[in-house]
Amino acid sequence: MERLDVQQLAHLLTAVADAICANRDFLCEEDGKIGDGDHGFTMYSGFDALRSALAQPDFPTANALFAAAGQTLMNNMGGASGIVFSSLFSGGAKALPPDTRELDLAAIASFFEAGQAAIMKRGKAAPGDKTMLDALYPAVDSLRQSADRAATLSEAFAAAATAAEQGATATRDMIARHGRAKSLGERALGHRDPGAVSVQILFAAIRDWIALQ
Amino acid sequence: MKKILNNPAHLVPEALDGLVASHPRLLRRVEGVTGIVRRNPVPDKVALIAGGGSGHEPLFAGFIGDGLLDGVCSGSYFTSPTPECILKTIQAVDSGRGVFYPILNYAGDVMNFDVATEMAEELGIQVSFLYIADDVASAPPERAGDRRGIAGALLLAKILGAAAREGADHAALAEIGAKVNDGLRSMGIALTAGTIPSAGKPTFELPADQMEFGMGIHGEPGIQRVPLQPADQIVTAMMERILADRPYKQGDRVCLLVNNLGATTYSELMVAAGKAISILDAAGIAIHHVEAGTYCTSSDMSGLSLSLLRLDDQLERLYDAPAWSPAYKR
Repeated sequence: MERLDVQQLAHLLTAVADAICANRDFLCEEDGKIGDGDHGFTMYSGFDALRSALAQPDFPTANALFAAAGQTLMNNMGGASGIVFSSLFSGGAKALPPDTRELDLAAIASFFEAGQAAIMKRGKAAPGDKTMLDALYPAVDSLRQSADRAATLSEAFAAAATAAEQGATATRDMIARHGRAKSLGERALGHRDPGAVSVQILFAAIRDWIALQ
Repeated sequence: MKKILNNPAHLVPEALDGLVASHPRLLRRVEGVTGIVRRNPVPDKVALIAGGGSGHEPLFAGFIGDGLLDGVCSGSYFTSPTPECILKTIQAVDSGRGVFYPILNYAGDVMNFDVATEMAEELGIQVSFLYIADDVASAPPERAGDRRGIAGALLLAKILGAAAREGADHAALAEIGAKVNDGLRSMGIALTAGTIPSAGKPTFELPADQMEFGMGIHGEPGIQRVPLQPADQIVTAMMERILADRPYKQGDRVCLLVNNLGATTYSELMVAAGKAISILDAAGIAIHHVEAGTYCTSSDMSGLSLSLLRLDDQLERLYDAPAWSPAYKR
């Protein structure tokens, strides 16, 4: 299975949504250390609405699927996370060739690269600022490297999930330059960015879904 | 945690509905989103909206009315509203001269309003905005643009509201707003953290003998945790920081806002106000008006914030202009 069609992509997204929702309380706890403790609720609102939206019958194209995912997240989250996580999917969707009906690894890497670019443009953050980008950037980079080596989807997402986890862990030692924690200075040290933890969960969920196929 | 609620997940729409039901000739809900607006758009003026997360009460929803705001879009507790909520509120207040909005300087508010601004512009609605970044504790003066927006937002809304009612256009509102921001500084302290109702517990733990300096209004920890001090010491420390920041000088004329962050009593506010006033007197700074009360909370945090707004003749006239809203009157 080296190409994912629209239906498979919808199932994959549902698995991601399930994982995020299952981690609601954990993400709130992570957020409580340097933020206001509601990151999990915000993510749950968006991703629970997403899995409801995905339960309906087929999206005709991957473009429509991911655009709808972005829209659903944007309309159901609010907060910085709402814009950031919706931009991942909306930005990725916009970069797909018209009428895309399946994605291989290279196309998936391009999708995430475009989503990441959309996030960076909207949020004006960069890696090193202690944001979700610190988990996303290494994961996306890893996907591109895997695509260049013609790795399998399974290998690629195992590597990406590890990269995301390492990136999220690395945020422990960063001082925040964006978002809620940026006024904490050194008090933010020793705690991970909750958005980065969400990204870690997202890539782990994709890895796990692929492993089950 | 004991709260007067039904389902915590429905707190925001139920609270908005209750507010609308309390003032049915003034207010109505925006259909499909958690926004409320004046029942009828006011003709011949730039409309003013504001918005942000719920839980900073009664800001902003309580400040809709004559000489103040025309509409408010409320997100979930401590969470910025979505672009859809903001846009529908914009559309509901526009009477043809477009919409102006102050935006509290938080990543979420900035980004959601940013997207909504693009959407409004695509629909041909003239929109403009400025950021409120009055919290001196959240960044040093050289990074003033990074500062959080807190209770000073009330003073900005008051002045912009008066200006808009007089017919100020977008450019004039931007200029007046910039002048307000230039002379507006705030800071908060907390004795206990607030609770987000759906979480059911305080957003951080403060030991009984400790207090927090310089936290914002979202339940995030502050910049410094110190032993609990007497009121005079607390206020002195806050005023030192605020006065030095602009800086405010002898001969300046200011308004003072003493704001309850949720669970603090009126007496406590008055003790703090008395000390702040004596500090201003000693500094030779004239006090035009003191506003003390509950305007911009962090849920049920025990604590208070102080804001100073430097006035000139124009700002004083706009500040003194009569205004009426459910939660603030002048």
